[in-house]
Amino acid sequence: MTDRVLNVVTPLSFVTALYFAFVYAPTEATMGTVQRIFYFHVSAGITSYVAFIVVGVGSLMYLYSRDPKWDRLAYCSAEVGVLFAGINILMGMLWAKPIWGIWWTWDARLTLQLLLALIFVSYLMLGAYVADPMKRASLQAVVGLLGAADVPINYMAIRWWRGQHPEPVIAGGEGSGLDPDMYIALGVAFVAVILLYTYLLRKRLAIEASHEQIGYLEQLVASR
Amino acid sequence: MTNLNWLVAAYSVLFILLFGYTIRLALKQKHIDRRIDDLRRRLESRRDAP
Repeated sequence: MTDRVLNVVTPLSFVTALYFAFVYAPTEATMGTVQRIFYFHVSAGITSYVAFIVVGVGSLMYLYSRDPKWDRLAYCSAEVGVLFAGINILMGMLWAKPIWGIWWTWDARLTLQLLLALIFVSYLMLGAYVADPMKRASLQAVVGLLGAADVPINYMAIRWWRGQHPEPVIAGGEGSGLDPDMYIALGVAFVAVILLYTYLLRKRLAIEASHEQIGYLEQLVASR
Repeated sequence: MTNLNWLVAAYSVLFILLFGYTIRLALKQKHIDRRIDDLRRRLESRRDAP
């Protein structure tokens, strides 16, 4: 039931978000139309935080209960999280080049976001290199927790350290903020990207469940 | 100062990565389903064998 609802709602919300980002939201005065990258760049970034926090919760629960379902949740969320972190970084670079004149700078926010993505790439690589499933799950849970600990530091980076990256426009200090229509467009884009994350996570979890079924069937075939 | 080409490039990256990952998941699921069907068939043929 949930899958069927998501199959319909996710593409619809995505198209709606594109309409809000490209048509509904006003053109920003100084940057022009390229500022429309903002809606999906920010949404992908926040969604990657959500995905990595899910990894942290799954890892913690796995270390506490040793129930493989938590390990599966953490692993699948890490994979989808890396996808959204990659989208966030690449869209940011394509926004930075015309506005800052550079593709990249070692500013606190940019560096921490890259570090966050790399921690979870190493988390996924660990899964491919450690053969013993129990050992692999335990090692990944520790890396997953360390990675999740980077999320609040990354979130606060633009508040704690001044760099090239703009100061926060949401929950920022005095003088920060957005045009009300831009807020709405950002909200719609965020809902669409979170729905997409949920959809992809469920698909990825279904694949893991099918993998287990294969293992069980292979054992049955071998025993007969 | 519209920088339209950068906007197109950024959204192209978004779509390429999202479609690429979704297609990868669909192919993986298809491959697994085929393997499950094959294993089930092998199990049934062994069950039917005298």
